[in-house]
Amino acid sequence: MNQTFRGAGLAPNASAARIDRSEWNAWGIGLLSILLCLGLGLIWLQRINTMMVAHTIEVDERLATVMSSLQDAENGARGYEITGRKEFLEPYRGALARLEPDLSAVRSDTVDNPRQQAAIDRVSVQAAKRMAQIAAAIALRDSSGISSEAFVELLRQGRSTMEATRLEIVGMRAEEARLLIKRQQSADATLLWSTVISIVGILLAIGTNLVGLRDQSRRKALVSAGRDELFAANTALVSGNERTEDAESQLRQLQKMEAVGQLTGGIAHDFNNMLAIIIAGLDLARRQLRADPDKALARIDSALEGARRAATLTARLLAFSRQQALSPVALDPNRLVSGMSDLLRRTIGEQVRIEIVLSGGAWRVHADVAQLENAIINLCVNARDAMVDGGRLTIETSNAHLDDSYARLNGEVVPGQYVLIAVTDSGVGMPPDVVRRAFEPFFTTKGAGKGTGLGLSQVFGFIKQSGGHVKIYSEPDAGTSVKLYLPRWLGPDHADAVTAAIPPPTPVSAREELVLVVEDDPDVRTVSVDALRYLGYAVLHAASAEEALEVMARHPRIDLLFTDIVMPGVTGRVLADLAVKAHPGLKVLYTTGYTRNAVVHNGVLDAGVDLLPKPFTVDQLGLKVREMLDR
Amino acid sequence: MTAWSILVVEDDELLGLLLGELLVEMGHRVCAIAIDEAAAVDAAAVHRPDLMIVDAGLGQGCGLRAVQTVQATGSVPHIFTTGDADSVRRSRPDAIVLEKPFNEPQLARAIALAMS
Repeated sequence: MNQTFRGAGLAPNASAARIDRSEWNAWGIGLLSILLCLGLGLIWLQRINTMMVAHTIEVDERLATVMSSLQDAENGARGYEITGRKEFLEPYRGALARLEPDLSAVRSDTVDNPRQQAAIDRVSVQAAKRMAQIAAAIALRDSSGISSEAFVELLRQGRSTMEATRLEIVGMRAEEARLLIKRQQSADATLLWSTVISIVGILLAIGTNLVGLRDQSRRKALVSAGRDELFAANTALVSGNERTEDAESQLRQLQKMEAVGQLTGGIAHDFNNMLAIIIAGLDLARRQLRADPDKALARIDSALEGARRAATLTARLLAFSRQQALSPVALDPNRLVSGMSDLLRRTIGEQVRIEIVLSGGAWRVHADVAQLENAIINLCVNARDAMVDGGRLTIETSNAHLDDSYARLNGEVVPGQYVLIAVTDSGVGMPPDVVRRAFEPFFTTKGAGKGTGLGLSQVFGFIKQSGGHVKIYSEPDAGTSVKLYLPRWLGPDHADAVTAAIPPPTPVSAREELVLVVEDDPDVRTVSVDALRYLGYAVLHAASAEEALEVMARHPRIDLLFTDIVMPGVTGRVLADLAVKAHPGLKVLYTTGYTRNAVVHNGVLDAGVDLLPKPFTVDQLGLKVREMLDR
Repeated sequence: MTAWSILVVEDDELLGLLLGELLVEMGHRVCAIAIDEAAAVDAAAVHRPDLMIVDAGLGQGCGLRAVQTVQATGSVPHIFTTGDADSVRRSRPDAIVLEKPFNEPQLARAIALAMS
């Protein structure tokens, strides 16, 4: 049964979308990580910026200190020069002490800035010069007192040096101020960036989380939806199966009704014709009764003919429904068939070659003589009609076993001993759907006016009513074989047959011999394969000659080829010829639904080949295979 | 009562013969008795009957087809005979259908209807 699996969550598109979402998730988290790294980087950058800013401020302060130190030194010196009082020298001495360390500090603080380095060197030089001047002035005052020209000269020099130094320091401080602004701006920018990144990061985190959560709940929903789907589908499957069974039994009902419809339609048509004949005949007879009695008589005969036909029709229908009155007797089928040979050759035999093959030692059967003769004639007429341009007709008798596996494949058959009467033709054959309907009453493939379509249905009904079995083997363009099986009659005059000896056990294969079974009917193939395996053989199988050739190419070691003769496509005969050519020494066992005689008579096989006709029992198969392999 | 030239199409030969004789007894002329569709079409072309009495069940409904073919060359009054009137009426609702078995009065009435 075909059940389509429907459900939104399980359709291909939805699963693709699901993949996208978890990709989304992965991307989101990746992005977040990157942003985090950036953020950390920015934090470090900010730290550096802050340090740099602090640095700049420090340098600036030190420069200011240097300036004020120099000022202090000057002021102190001037005070001493004017007053001569030693306490004025304190600031001068303090400044002198401070100056060198401060200058060094600035130098080391601006080591990364070449301009500032050059500037601080110049400042150092100027500062040193000034201090030297101040020292000189003090020394001068100490030694020779203040003379106006020298003092004024020193003052003048001092002023210019101081100015120069002041300018340098101002320049340096300006530079530091500039750097400060720059660094402040950088710090601000970094702050802005980290804020932005943080916000983006937060949003992303929230977003990813949401997606993740939604995805999670979506996944959960999908899983439970999937579970529900599965449950629903299972329920649907179960109820679908029930519905299918209902539908199937309804279909069978319809088919039965159709068959019944066909039957009643056929009956109505035929009976109406016969009634019309009777009524018309009698009507006309009445008219002619006084005027022309002879004519009237003729009409009455016509009416009677119609009535007779009607009676025959009833009889045939009863035959089909297995309710006709039969008078069975014990009879020898060989005698019966040979007794009919003249009649058959007369009825059938203008363009058709008839061969009658009776097997010696055929068992007796218990059946109605007239009906059996009727059945055989019926089959022969059908055979003739199938061979429009002439052909060969073979009638055979033989003993047969129908075993359990055969009974399994053909319902209503009781396994046991039967006598086979087979009628085989070399005509057009029937396709499987015609074979299936062949026994239906009023089913006919013949054109209008040729036959009632009741012949085979009568045969079928009669044989069934006699405890027998009918089987049709046919393939298009390969002819038809109709096999009548009647149960063996073990009457009082055949007491010896009852106590049959226990047959020897079927020989098996102890050496894992390899057999290739080639058979297009799957049921028969299965039975043969299973039987051979049961008997210990290794078995390969193929459903056609083409397949068989492939198998043989892969397994050249095959010991026995067991093939059906008539198969669609390449026949068993051709297959065997090819196989033996490729593997000389390969043994070939043929089988066929047609009888041996028919097959030989029609030139399909040469007389000396090994043939096991269907249906065969497991014992028969085992014996034949063993015998062939032991040769 | 007018005497018509009638073509009988019936695949059962005995019945065809009897029907023909009945028609003659009734005073009509039977130009031919055809047993299948092809023969019916040919006979109609050759004899140009006034009326056709056609067995509908000429082997799978060919009776209806035969009439159709003949009608293609010119309308001819016709009566269908059949054992199953319902199915014929279903495919030809306005045809004149005579159910087998029929007797003479029924046949006469059908003929009168067809030729009116």
